[in-house]
Amino acid sequence: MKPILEMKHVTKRFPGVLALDNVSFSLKQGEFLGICGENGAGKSTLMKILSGSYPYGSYEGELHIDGKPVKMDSISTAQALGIEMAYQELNVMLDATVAENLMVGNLPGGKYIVDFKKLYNMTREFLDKVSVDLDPAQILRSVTNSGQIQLISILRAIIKKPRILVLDEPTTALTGNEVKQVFAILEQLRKEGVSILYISHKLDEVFELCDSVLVLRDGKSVAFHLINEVSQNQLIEEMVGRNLENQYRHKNVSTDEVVLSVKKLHIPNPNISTKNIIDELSFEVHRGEVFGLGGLVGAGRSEVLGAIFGQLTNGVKKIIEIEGQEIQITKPADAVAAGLAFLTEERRSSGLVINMNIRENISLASLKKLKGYPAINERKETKETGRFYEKLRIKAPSQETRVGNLSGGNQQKVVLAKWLMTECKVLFLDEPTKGIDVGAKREFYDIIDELTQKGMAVVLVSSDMPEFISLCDRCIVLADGKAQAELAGDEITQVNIIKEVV
Amino acid sequence: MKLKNKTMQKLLNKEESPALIMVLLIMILVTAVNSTFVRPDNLLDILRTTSYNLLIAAPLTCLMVCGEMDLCFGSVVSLAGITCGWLLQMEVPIPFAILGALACGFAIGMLKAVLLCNVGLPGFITTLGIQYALSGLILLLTGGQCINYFPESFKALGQRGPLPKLYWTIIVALVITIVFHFILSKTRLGRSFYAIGGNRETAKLAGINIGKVSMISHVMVSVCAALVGVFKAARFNSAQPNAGSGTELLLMCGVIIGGTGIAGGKGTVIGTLLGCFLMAEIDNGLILTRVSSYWNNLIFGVILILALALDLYRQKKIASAKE
Repeated sequence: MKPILEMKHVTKRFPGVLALDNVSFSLKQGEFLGICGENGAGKSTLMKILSGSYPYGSYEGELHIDGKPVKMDSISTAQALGIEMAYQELNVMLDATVAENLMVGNLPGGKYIVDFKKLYNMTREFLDKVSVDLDPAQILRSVTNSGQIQLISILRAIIKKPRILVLDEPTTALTGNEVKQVFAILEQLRKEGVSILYISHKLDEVFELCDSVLVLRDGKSVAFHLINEVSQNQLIEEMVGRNLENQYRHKNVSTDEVVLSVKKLHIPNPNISTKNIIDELSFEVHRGEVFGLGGLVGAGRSEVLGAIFGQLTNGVKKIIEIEGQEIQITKPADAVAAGLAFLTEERRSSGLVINMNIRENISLASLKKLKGYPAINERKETKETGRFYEKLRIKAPSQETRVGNLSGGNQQKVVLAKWLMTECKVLFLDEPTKGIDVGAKREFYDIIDELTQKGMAVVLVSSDMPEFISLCDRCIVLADGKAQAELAGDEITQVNIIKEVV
Repeated sequence: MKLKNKTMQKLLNKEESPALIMVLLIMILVTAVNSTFVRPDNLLDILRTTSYNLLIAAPLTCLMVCGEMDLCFGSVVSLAGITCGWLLQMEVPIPFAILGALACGFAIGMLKAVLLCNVGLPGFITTLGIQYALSGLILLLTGGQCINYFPESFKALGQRGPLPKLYWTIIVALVITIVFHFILSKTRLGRSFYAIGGNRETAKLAGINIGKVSMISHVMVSVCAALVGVFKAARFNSAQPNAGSGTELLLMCGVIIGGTGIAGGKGTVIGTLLGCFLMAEIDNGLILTRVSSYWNNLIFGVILILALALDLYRQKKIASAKE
């Protein structure tokens, strides 16, 4: 049978990163193809090319549909070709009705007026067909079951009768029964000849649903299998690869002394009342230790850091002890005062003040120490921030340069310098080397070595697997709101971590 | 040539430069028509008008740098003037009458700060609501009547000074301006204003108490507005129910002309000084050149837009100089 979709030698570059490297695959009518890979393997880039989010010309290579090359320049051209996508995030309109959510973009009626009667009838017909028990006229906010809401974002793609349906982690908010319901709908689509690209971390689901599977790693397609010719273990090994010979290995200098103890951390999910992001999590971090929070994107790793630090407060319950003393942290100021520091994932939105210069950014969390009543002691400030400016080798004309003019790596160093100046006891690092180049990364690791030798404890979240493995002395792996395993030293390997989450 | 380039570059880097350019431009234009404009006594007249605006605009700059919004200080001006007038009529000693007016400003500032920072109501609408409520309250309390005839020594506050034409108002306004310039540029509080306006989340994570800092900025504006109410009552020998109405947006424009961004994070008190001087300069210049004062609003509106355009041009220049 002729393939309905072919992707030929597609390469997509971002500044400094090769997101997709010469990827080719084909999809037949009625075929369900699973796409597997770790964080950053290139799955979402692939998806965005297919959906037209990255228009033709922004990547190399070609897309063929029904054997003919197509140039998709927007999402709507992709939709016109019959490609629909259901996204991982719950992007629905909570204050609109079920019917409006499903039919948004092609509401029936005239040019200016919506024909609601027709809308509800069409939706009712569709919902009956897929046997989903929802009232088309119900406002979405009143649908208390979150699984049903995720179901709607899937149905929204299906109702347009696509030829190719792309599903990105469609079951993250669903319970077992709801997953079955979704699979039943998808099986129905298979009979109608719809092809599906199924992106998922959950290998069980891939094995249950898909006919074949494509493995991506570091932007390359490393393997293609028919599903009955491959085992789960083989897939895991292919996802992880074996290129683990790192030149860098963090020296373990951790002690037995507990600096930070977190007990019964509980973080509710703001969108889904029945599901918690984190359930009763407890862990301890020792002086001089690099402690890792492993897991996939969306497992709640950053939320754990934010909740401890007092950035995230809604419904969070926790008991925090620092050096054996229980501390109430209700806002970040409490955490800073207690000796915690938090280098967040998004330096532009929560790490820097772009309008300020390097000196002002570095001193921002330590202004209390620069008291020279009533003004800031500027001479002392320049001297203190200058120490970190030089130690971290921030590259800029001077300390008075605005941080907006710096490269990503140097900006990250400014944020780090800000926290080091507070003389913190525990440093939270969330994706600390995201978007910075290899040389700067290596410098960053050396700094962490030096800090831990001086007795600082580091809590690390990183999706860069080699980095995570080489830095961590000990880690827990988060999935489904719980610590699935605790690994230490040589046990921390990619295979061991992935095994806990798939 | 190189030197000139350097000066140009320096000028470009200052956010006050559009206001400065326009202050000078108008000065040259008006002087060309009528040279009395640059005589010291006329300049002092302009400064006197400036000082009433500046007294509020200086703390307002801090508030706007912090990314906050206040649309009710005009009614605070009126209410404080009237409070002061009543106290004087009850023969309360002058210093206590003034303190009473300031206390009234402080109370309204606290109310506003609690509604915005603790309860979390949106600033624009809430302060607008307070403005309406207060102006209504003032009419109810006064029946729309002015309170007139104050003691000589009180009137002196607004009508005299250490030297002829160098009124006390000017001196107090300049002192207040210097104080706020110092607060904004040199102190921890000032740094917190810039940080909160520049990036709220970063400031919060750095341990800055956002609620407290924005609260202070609101109270500062209201207390200074009350002070203006006192000065206005003294100057006109009359506390009027509408003494401050309609000044809110005007003063915010003055601050913006001085280079402060409406979104917060940037601005200086020096720029605001220039912005307020520019507004008084236009008023005065129109009179001296015998242009109908009907032109006033038209010219002011054009200047406001021009200032924003100049600022945009300046930022583009800086950006292109970097490449």
